[in-house]
Parts: sequence; structure tokens; C-alpha cells
Amino acid sequence: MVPESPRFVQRQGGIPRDAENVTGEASAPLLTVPGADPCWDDSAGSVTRDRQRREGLDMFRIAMIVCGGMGGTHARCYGNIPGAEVAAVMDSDSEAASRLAASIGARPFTDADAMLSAVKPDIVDVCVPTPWHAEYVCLAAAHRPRGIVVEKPMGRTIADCERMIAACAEAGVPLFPAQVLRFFPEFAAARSQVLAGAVGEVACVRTRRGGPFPRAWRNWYGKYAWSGGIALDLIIHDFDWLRWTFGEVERVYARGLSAGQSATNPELEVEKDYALVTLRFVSGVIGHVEGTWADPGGFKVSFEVAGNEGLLEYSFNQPASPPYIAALELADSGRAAVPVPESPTAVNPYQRELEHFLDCLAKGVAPSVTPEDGMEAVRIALAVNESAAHNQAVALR
Amino acid sequence: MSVRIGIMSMAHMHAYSYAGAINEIAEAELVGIADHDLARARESAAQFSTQAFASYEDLLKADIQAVVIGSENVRHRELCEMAAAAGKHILCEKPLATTVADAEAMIAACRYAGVQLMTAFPCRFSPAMARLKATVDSGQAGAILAIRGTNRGRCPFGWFVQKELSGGGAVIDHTVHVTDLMRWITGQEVAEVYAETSNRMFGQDFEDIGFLTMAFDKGVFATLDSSWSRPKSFPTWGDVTMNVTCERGVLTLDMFSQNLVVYSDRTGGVSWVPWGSNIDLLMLQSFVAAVRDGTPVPITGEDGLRAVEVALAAYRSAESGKVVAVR
Amino acid sequence: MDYVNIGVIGCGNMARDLARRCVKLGRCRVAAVTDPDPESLAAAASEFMADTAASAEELCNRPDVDAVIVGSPPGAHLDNVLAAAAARRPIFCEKPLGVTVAECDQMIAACDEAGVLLFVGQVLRLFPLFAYSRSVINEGHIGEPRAISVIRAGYGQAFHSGWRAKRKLAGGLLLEVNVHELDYMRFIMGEPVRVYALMDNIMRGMDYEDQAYVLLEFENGGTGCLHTSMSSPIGEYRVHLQSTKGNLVHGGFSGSLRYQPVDGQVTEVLQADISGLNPYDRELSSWIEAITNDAKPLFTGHDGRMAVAMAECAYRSADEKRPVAVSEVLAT
Repeated sequence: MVPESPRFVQRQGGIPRDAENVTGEASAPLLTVPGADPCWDDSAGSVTRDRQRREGLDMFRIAMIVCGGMGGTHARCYGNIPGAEVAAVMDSDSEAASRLAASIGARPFTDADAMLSAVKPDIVDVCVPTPWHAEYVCLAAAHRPRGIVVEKPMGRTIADCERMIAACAEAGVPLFPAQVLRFFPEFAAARSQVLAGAVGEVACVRTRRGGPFPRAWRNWYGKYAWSGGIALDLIIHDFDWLRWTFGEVERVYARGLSAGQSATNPELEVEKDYALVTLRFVSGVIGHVEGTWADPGGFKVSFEVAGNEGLLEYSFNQPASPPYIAALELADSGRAAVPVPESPTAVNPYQRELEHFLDCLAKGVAPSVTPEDGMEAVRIALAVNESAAHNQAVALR
Repeated sequence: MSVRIGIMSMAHMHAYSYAGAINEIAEAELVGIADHDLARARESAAQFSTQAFASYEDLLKADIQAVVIGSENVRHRELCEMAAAAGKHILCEKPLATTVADAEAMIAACRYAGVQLMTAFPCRFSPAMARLKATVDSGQAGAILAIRGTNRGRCPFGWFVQKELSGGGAVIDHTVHVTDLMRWITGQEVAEVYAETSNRMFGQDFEDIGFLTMAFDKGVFATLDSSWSRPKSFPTWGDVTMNVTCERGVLTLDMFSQNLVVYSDRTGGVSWVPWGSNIDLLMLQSFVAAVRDGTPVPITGEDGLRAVEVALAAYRSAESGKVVAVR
Repeated sequence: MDYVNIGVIGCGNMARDLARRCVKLGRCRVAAVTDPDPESLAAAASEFMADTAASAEELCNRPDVDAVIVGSPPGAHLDNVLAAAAARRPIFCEKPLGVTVAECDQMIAACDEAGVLLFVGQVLRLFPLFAYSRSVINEGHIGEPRAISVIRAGYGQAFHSGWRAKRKLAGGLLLEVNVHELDYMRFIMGEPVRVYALMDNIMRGMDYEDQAYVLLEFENGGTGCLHTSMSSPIGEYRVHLQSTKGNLVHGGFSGSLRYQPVDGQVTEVLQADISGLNPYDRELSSWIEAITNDAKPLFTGHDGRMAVAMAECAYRSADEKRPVAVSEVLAT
């Protein structure tokens, strides 16, 4: 599964550049307003209160193992969390490592083991492409940090997930899969509403997610063997949120562009992907997830939940949107960079997610997202791929 | 000379819209209405300034060239065969029938009698849909790869939830419109269907949720939500949407999104007041023109049958849990 | 008029069946009947409780006869139709309208002059698979018809004796039987322009052909071939139609019809699954509607004349061993 010599496993050796030689802007403390997010009801308690308390108690030194956009996003978020400090950044591309390190005032490394030995971080944040999650998480666990964050999808295979869970359990290190959708206020609020019975007994749920195809290092999103296609990389967000909100999935049926071809072409590489997934939950709820990496019209997210006493929706049913929209690629550039959804709130969801983990570590309580949650989301996504590859419903239990 | 039309049964609410449309068309005349419920025939005849006939036979003996069939689904065949034998052209409400055998018999009866059979799929006449079709046909979007469609609505109850009259629940009611649109823009036939259904909205003996996945015979795949999942408090009756992913872009249709939003303390709620084109009128105009000119109707009985086959395949799939072949 | 009072000229099986159907449709009464054969006449008079007339002239001129069915052998159509036209009675004439184009022209002229309807029973067009095939073309599923082949083979005992065995009365196989198929081919292909025919008599039962191939060219550039036989112990009926965008085959009076667009699926319909009015009822209804309500009749003298013209071309072609233009026989 793991291809040879990707840039972040090239052990270039040598001494990383001294962080002090790198000038960068100091991260500004985030001004927070108590009670700014009334819909936020995380069981770990008020983020704002915990942030204030942590200032005096706990400092978290972060080491990041990165490649690509999400590493930068996480790094900037840590910069906004009082008590958190990104001490080191590892990227086997030394220029990329230096660039990111400089922007946040951290030490750049090109070798993960060297970084972990040198920095002895409290937190290791693994944001490399999916197939290398297990390798780096296991490596990090061996250094026994206080906690490890692993970007979603947790692993490329269930075996990867099990390996990570075992390594972290053995080392006694909490592992936090970054299923960030749970920290998006609209999704969290929707879940609260649903659980509070706002729509009565839920009958069906639909989500849509996607935009242009993400261009990235070596087109790794497009390499089905690496990314697992849109089901594993993108709409796993929805799978996790759905499972969190509506319980376990009984079976899935899916059609998809890359997954459909994967059965006959394991080396498949695409520049467009699309999937339509039907899920049947143990509860009897029926779900539908649309994922697109083929929409030049921009990144869009929407969802709705229908029950016997109402309907809850986000950006789904528009009273006066244009009845017809053609979003076509320009002849010379049908491509877009990796899009990251924005949801401007007082605290962005990525920061909220990381703060939650640090807060739980500080308080010694279990994070709301468990490694098993990460693995179950992967399991749903892989079942989706299997269904699309073999054109049959796939039972999960 | 105007095209003289009779309506056979006002059981379906769309028949009222069609009657109004006929009255709006200068070259058409609503000659009368017959219904197995004579009181309904009289009331609707008064509403649309026409006469009620005591029986379908009497209506068919009148000087009319065409009929609109607006009965309960299971009665379509009987009324269609009567009208065909009387030599009347037919516009039949969807779904064309509740079984393949019924739909085939209707088509055969009309072909034998030499009359035209049109299936009432007004969505094809939506101006937004026409733009989508034109974009697809122009080739500028490239080939269609996949389609995500919805046709959700509020549950109509009444005979719609009595299987012996409707042939099913939400799936037979709401699958056919968008299936027809998908067939129309892809030029492909649905080969396989997978469906999940449930009755969790109302907990009764009809399905109110239907999520279909379709594979077309030349590679396009699609899903269609045909549920009665809009609550009573939803600001409009429902929707018809399609998201058409193509090689070079995405075409997004939200057919009935041309609305004013009205917040009313008198009704205590929010409602969407449509201002878009009357697609029922556009459809009736096309039917009238075909009858008048003797040209082929744009949407045939076979189109109706193909859509019914998909709905019936969805029931078979939901029953078996398997992907099923449509034919 | 509440009821159409019908006079029936020629009381053989076919004519009696037509009269019976008219009565059953609920809008006709048989007022009078006539037939040179006393047995047939008595049977008809008794069945319909109708008066008998000594001749076609007498029958047509009775005040209680509103319209006339001419069901006599084809060779006698001319006299009977002229009698009805002279009495200004609308006419239903069994096919073939006449045994020559000249006869047809005479009948049509007389009816036109008298201002009465001349309806010809080209009923084959209304049989389920035949009617269905035209609708498939009308709906555009298979494009424009380009080539039609019809095989009708059988061994009708009735044709090997009695009036049907005599050309003088029956007109010949192409007229007595296949004027139906010729009309159907014209119904599908449009107007014919040229005909070539080969004929044979294998069984020597009739004094005319019991085998014929008729090749046709049509105005639309398409072609047709009729193979008819009255000497085939194994019966067969087959229509094969090729169009610009597909084809269609059917089994005539039984079996099924199948069609397939070039890039589409096969559609098959069984005759047994086609419901609707009986073809004879439909033609008679059309005749009655035309009489009572001025409705457009399904078939007119012109249709009957064109079918006869196609047969006449075929006979001339077989005699003279050359293709014959339809205009040749229409001009005479």
C-alpha cells in the first residue's frame, strides 16, 4: 500500500535548521468572548473557561508531521490556542518545512524521529497523506507524547487503524482522530436539535459536500490506492457525523466514479471524483451522502434531516435561489487548489477541535472522538468503496 | 378549429391544474368532466365553467377529440382503454400505471386505435429544465457522469396512500418525474436499481421514504430521493432538483425555486409563493398542438412505462435488498 | 336520424356478419335484404326479420332503406353500387371495390355525382398488429419506412370451388384476397408508382393465379414485396418492415409484433395483449358516424380504387412481363 519514497519518508538526515535562525511572526493571543458560541455544548465543558484555566496550568508543545494544507491549518490553529505552541515542524521537503516553521516560529525538521527525539513534544500532530498515518502515529507513540492527533481519515485500511490503536494503547498515549465536522457549529447544533427531538423521530437524512477537485502533492488525492477516493477522504466527514448523530450503520450501497473503476484498475488515478451513497442505519433511518470533487462552482456543504414532526436543514432548500446554474470549467483551467471550507465563527472549527483535545488531556478526561470512532468512519467509507466496486449492498454488521 | 377535450376523473389534484390550463388555451375547449364520483364531476364542472357528464361513456360519446385522465393510478388502464376504443387522444396523469402489464396494455390499446397517448410529465416543460437540456445537448459540459436528483413532497394522503388505488406509496408517486428527466437528458435507459425504503415518517403500511440508486445502460449513475419527507409546516409542496455532474462542470437545477417568501401572522407561518412559469399550462399547450396538428406527442406512453418500470424495480430491490435489473 | 335503416345486397357470410355487427352496435336496423340465391336470402331475412327485395334497384329505392351494404361477389359490385348511388343511398362496399380501375372510377364518379358516401371495407388496416405498426411509425420510433415485405400463404378450401374459384366473380387472388395487403402496404409506404409481378398456378384449383410475387416501388423511394399463395398447405403470415432508424416485424393475424430502433431495445407486443374495438366494428362505426354525423370516414372509394389499381398493375405486369407504372392503369 505505501508507495516508495514519498517526500516525507525520505530520511534526508542531517541537522535541521535551527529554529532561532528562522524569524517569524509571533502568534497573537486570541481574544475570546465568553459565551460567544451558545450552541456549543461539548461535554468537556466551556472551551473559553478551560482556555483561561489552562493558561496557568498546562503548556503543550506541539510537533507537527506535515505535508500539505491541513498541517498549515492545524499549525495556525495551535498558534491561536493559549498554552499551545508549535515547537517543531517536520516535512521531508526542507523548504516546505522551513516555510511553515518560519511562519509560526517553530523549528523545522525533515526527519520525524529526529524531531521527536530533539523536541520531546507533548503533542504530535500527524497531517501526512493517508497511507502514512499508521507509520508516523506508531513512531510518535514510541516517543510517548501526552497525545497524538491524526488527521482524518484515520487510516487507509482497517489494519492501519488497528495498528495505530494498538500502538497508542500500549504506549498509553491518547490518540485523537481529527473528525473535525463534529466541531463545526452548524453540524453540532443540528445534532443537538435532532437529539432534542426537533424533527420528531428521524426518517431520513441527506448531506452534500464538495467542490472542485483538490490539486495536491503528486496528485495523491487522485490516486485511489493512496487516498481511497472521495469516500474515504472527503465524505468520511459526513459518515462520522452521521454515525455520531444517528448511530451505527447497518449497510451501505454506493455508486462512485473512482470506486466504481477501482475493482478493475487498482492503479487508478483520477482528476475528478464523485460518489452517491445510501446508508441504512440500525435505527431504520435512511441516509444519503453526495460527495463531489467535480464541481467547479466552488466548495459547498449542505444537509437536511427529516422526521415525522419536522424538517431541519442547512443550506438545502432555497426559496429563491436561481432555478438553474451551470458551473462549467474554463477551457484552460478546470483545476483548483485544495479547498478548505470556511465557517466564520468566533473560534474556527479546526481550532475548536484541537482545543478540545488539549483540554481533555489537561483535565484527564477522554476526548469526545475516540480512536474507534475514527476507525468506524474508515470502516463505513471502505464499505462504500467496496459497494461501488462490486455493485452490491455491503453490510457493516 | 379548437381541440375539444374532456376530463376523465378529477381524483388527482393535478387534474384541477390541467382543467384550468385547458381553459387558458385559446385553441382548446374543455367540453366536460366525468367522474365515478358524480358529485365531484358536478362541482369541478361548475368550477371550470363546463358541463358534467353522468358517465365516462357519455363523455366519450360527446364531440371531443381528446381526454385527460386524472383518476387514481390503478384506474388509468380502464379509462385509457375506454378512451382509446372511442378514438380519443389521451393525456394520462403519471404514473402511467401501477404494473408493467397495465402500461403495456394502455400503449397497445392506443396504438391499435391509432390515438396518441401522452404521459403527463410537466417537468420537461420547465424553462429551467429546458436550459439544462440545452446545455447538455450543446456539448459544452461534456458527457454526463452522474446525477443526484430529488422529488420530495408532503404526503398527499387520501387515495395516494391506499395501495389498492395508488399501487404503492412515495416511490410510485415520486420516482417517475425525475426518472423521466434523467432519461431525457442522458438519452439512456435505467438498467439497474437499488433502493432503500421505510415508513418512518408516518409509521403506516405504505412507504414514505424512498432512496433510489440507478445505473443507466451507458454508464451514468444517479440517485433519486422520492420521499414524502416535507413536513406540513414546509413552506411549499416539495421540490424537483437535479445536480448533474458532467465531464466539464456541474449543472444544478432547482425547478421550483422561483418563489416569494411570505411571513404571515394571519396564517402563522412562512410560505413560498411561486412566480415561475406554469409548466402544466406549457404541457397542455404541447398536447393540444399535437392533437390539432396530428404530430407526435413529445412524451409518449413508453416514456411513462419506462419510468414506471424504475419505480417497480425499486420496490423489488427494497424487498430483496439486492440490486435488481429493471427489465 | 335515430336509427340507420340498412339494406343488404348480397347475403353471404361476410355480408350477414357485417349486418349483424351494425345491429349490435345499437344504431342500425336491417330493413331489407336481397340476394340471387334463395337460400341465403331466406336465411338473412329470417335472421334480421327483414323484408326481401327482388333486386338491388328495388332494395335501394325502398323508402325505409337509409343506407346500403354491398356484400356481393366483387364482380357484381359495380352494378350494385351504381344502383345505390342512383337511389342516393350511402354505401358500404366490401373490398375489393371493383375488379378493374375502370369499374372503380365509374362507381366513384356516380357516388360523387349523387353526393353519397362510398365507404370501402379495407379492414385489414384496422387489425391489431397492422394498426399498431402504423402507430409505431407515426410515433417516430423507427424512422421513415423504406422496405416492406409481406408473405401471406395458405390453402383456403373455399377458394378452390364455388364463385371464389372463378376470376370472373372473384377477380383473382390479388383482388379477392390481397387487395388487403396491397392497401396495407400503401398505408405504410404511401402512394405506389410502379409494379412488377410474377404469377403461377400450382394447384390448378382456381382459374387464376394461386401464387404471386408482386414487387412495388413507392413515391417515397421505398420498395415492397408481396408474396401470396393459395396453394400452401402450411400457412404463414409475416410482415417485415425496414425503416431508416429501425425495423418492425409482425405475424399478421396472430402472434406478436416486434420493433427495434437501430440503437434501442426490442419492444414486443402480443396480439393477445392488445385490447380495443373489433376491426369490423370499428370500420362499421366509422361508416355510421360518417352517415349520421358527417364524421370523416376511415376509408373512401379512393382507397379502394388505389388498391385495385395496384392489383391491376400486377396482372398487367404478369401478362406483359414488364414493370407497369401505376399511372398507366389510372389513366385508362
